Amino acid sequence: MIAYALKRLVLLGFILFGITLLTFGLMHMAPGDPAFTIAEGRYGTDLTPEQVEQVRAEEGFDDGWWVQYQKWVSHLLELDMGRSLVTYKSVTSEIAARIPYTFVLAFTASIITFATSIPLGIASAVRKGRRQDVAVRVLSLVAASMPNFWLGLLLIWVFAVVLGVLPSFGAGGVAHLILPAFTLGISMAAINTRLVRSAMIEVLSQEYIATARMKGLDDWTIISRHGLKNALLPVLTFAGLQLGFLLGGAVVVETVFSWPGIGKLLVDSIMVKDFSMIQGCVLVIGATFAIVNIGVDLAYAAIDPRIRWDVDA
Amino acid sequence: MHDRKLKKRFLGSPTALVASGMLMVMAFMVMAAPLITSYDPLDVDLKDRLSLPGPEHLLGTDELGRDLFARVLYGGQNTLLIALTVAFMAFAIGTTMGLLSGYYGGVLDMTLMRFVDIMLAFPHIILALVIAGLMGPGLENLILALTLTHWPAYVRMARSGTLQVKEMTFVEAARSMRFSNLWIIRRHVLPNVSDSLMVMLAMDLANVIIIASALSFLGLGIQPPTPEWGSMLRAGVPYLTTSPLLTFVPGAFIFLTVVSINLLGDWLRDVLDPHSHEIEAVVA
Amino acid sequence: MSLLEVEGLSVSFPSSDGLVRANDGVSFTIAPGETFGIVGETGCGKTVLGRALLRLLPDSAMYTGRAAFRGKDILSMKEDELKELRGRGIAMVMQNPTLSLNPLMRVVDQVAEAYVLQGMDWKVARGEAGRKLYHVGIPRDRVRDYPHQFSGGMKQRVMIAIALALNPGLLIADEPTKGLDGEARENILRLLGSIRDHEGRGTMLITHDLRAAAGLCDRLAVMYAGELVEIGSTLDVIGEPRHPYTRALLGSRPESGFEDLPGEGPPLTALPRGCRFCPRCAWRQEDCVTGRPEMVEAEDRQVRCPVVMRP
Repeated sequence: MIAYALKRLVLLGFILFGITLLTFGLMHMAPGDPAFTIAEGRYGTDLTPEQVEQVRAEEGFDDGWWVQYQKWVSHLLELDMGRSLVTYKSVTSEIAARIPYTFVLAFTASIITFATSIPLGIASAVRKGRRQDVAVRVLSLVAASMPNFWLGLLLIWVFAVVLGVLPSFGAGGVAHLILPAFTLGISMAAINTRLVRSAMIEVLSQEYIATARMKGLDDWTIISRHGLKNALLPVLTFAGLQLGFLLGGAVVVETVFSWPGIGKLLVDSIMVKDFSMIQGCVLVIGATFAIVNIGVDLAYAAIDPRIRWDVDA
Repeated sequence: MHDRKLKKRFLGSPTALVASGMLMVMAFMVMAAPLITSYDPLDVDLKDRLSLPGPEHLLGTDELGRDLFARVLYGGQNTLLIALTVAFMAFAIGTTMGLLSGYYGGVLDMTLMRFVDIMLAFPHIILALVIAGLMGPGLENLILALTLTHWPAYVRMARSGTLQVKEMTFVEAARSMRFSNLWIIRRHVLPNVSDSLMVMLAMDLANVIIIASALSFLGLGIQPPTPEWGSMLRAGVPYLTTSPLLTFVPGAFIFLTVVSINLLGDWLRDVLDPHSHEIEAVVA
Repeated sequence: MSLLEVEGLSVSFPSSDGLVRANDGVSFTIAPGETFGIVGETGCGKTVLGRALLRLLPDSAMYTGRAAFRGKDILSMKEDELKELRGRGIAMVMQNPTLSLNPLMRVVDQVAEAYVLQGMDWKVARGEAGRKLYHVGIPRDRVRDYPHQFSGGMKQRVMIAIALALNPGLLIADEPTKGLDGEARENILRLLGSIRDHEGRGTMLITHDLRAAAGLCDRLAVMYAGELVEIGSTLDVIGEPRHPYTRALLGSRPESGFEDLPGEGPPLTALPRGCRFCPRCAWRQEDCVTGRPEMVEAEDRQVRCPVVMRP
């Protein structure tokens, strides 16, 4: 277990290194002269070439990329991601202010996802081929095929415009959270229901389920004690993908609902070409994604006793 | 799977028939837009803004008095063009790289796979969003950004299939008989991985449509006044209270296309790849 | 009264190749305390028979005939009656212990579950389970292990412990030695011999291993292509086999089971009209291919072959 965990952590280190390289590289591959952009932000549009050169020297754009990268990473290790090119605010504190919003949204959406997809997926698997199963499959297909920005707008129309019961944008009380969380949750639940269903179908055909039936256990005990854990294991392997879906979906949903999370910050920064803010957002999202993914691997190993023995896997 | 058997299974499946029928109707309407509507999607008529559906305008008009029906048909041309180009380019690049990487192995394989690992370490849409944002809006940039972020998934799939086939006796035999490597890849490896790749391509097409229109919706795709489903939705948002059709209609077109492709993809997977665990195909 | 009475039991399933007739007109009885063996080649339908008696087959299975446990017909039982039958009535040592044990549950819990079903609380049940596992040869310090930490033979012991813990009226052991190598196989056979209960519990041993069956069973039934072809006391069947199939089996080095018999049984989807063993039979007569032979009973022996039973 310890050897396995260490291996995962080494991999995490490698991926985090890759993420910094890619993020750094992306910004330097961007068209246009970053010195010019920064200078424009500082001194307005009437720029003299001297001002641009001054910024270039100050920001160290004349150094080789490796020197720049090292400098960037050393700042990063002190949690200093520079200043916004547009607002001059600290990127770190701006992102830190947004993270709680994204976290609350993602967390609520995940709860909605699990609360719907696990029971629906199981019910569908247990009644495979019958009416309930067909209904669940149609429903999940429809929900999975809806672009989440469209779903969000439909929900706004119904609940904010027609019924007028929920706010359609911004953050505030719990009411503001409901529509964005459901938009994100419904899309995820659609995929997750299909995952749970097919995993459960596979598990129910296993011999150890026949053993459980042979013992004379009732259906509920068979599913909850012998089926569920085994079925959720393969679902867990897709948790990484799900998380990617969650973070990617958050970018879109936050924009639709003007929810002030990191996704909205990213989109807004892209619109105004605030490179240092974009860099910060991508880095934080990428690192979160990588860290949670490794966390999922470790959780998997903790749940499945078999993993501990084949360390090389 | 033989073509004839595939055809027979296809004709025997109501789901496949309905889904492909829907897709064909949709594709026809989009492709033959000039035959179906006489309106120019760019024709502004400020005297007739935000009108309701009626005999004059089938689905009404938008905020600049342009015919919504014409715009959604012509808009589909752009959306489908982007999606098809991205899916096929990513498929072609990814498959080629995956086949070569898996077949030859070595340092090339190592390097490529680590690169793929890092690319896949980002949520897909976020990477595409950033690249498209850095390159600036526009059709070509959108296609490029989506393709750049999309091919690594195909590399993984093609590579793992290649590694399995590589160890099989007929490939070993062909190698010992000194057939050229490229010939072996084309004759033996590719046919053995193509079924699962086709399934992935079908599933992926739906995915690309959603991501491409999401980027356009966020303002990074085709710029106004050119119609495109995602950007039409974006333009319709301010009028959600008064003219909800401006957002309903393009969204419904995206939805119907994606549902049909997903249905067809599910069916294709059941037929071509019955042994694949359903769970893997769901998220492919 | 017999413990188990099976009368003309037929089981079939629809499949893409047509109807699979896995069991056809199977009749036998098992008395309390008796050990009864069903022997036959792989794919002859003997596992289906065992599972049919617990109604563990897929919903698509179709049954005709009668199978009564302690006088109650199994085939017409409702869900709640089946819950009573399974475990307490009939328990089974499942084929392939590797697949039949829950990989995510400690073995002691999988045994303890049987006691919990009988009304114990988990703590007491785990204690009982530990004792039962020790009884079948699992060391005390291994009971909290997971199945994958055990060898095939040990997993089979756990499976046997589960079945015994259920305290059934009839214990079915489905191919308990399949996939085990020499020593592990001997140990399992010895264990099965030691747990026989000559007073109350009946045992039904399903196996392809004729020698194992001969060593453990009071009576034997030989199965071929879904039907029983010979039933009699072990001594009679082994000592003086009547049916050509039984003879062929015994002639084909019983040490290694049935693997050496040339040819193979007919597919259960396309059974011949006449005698099913006819194509492989050394005693074949012209009229064997026309009508299906009936079971003929003589001197406590039943044989499904008119040729060898002719006086």
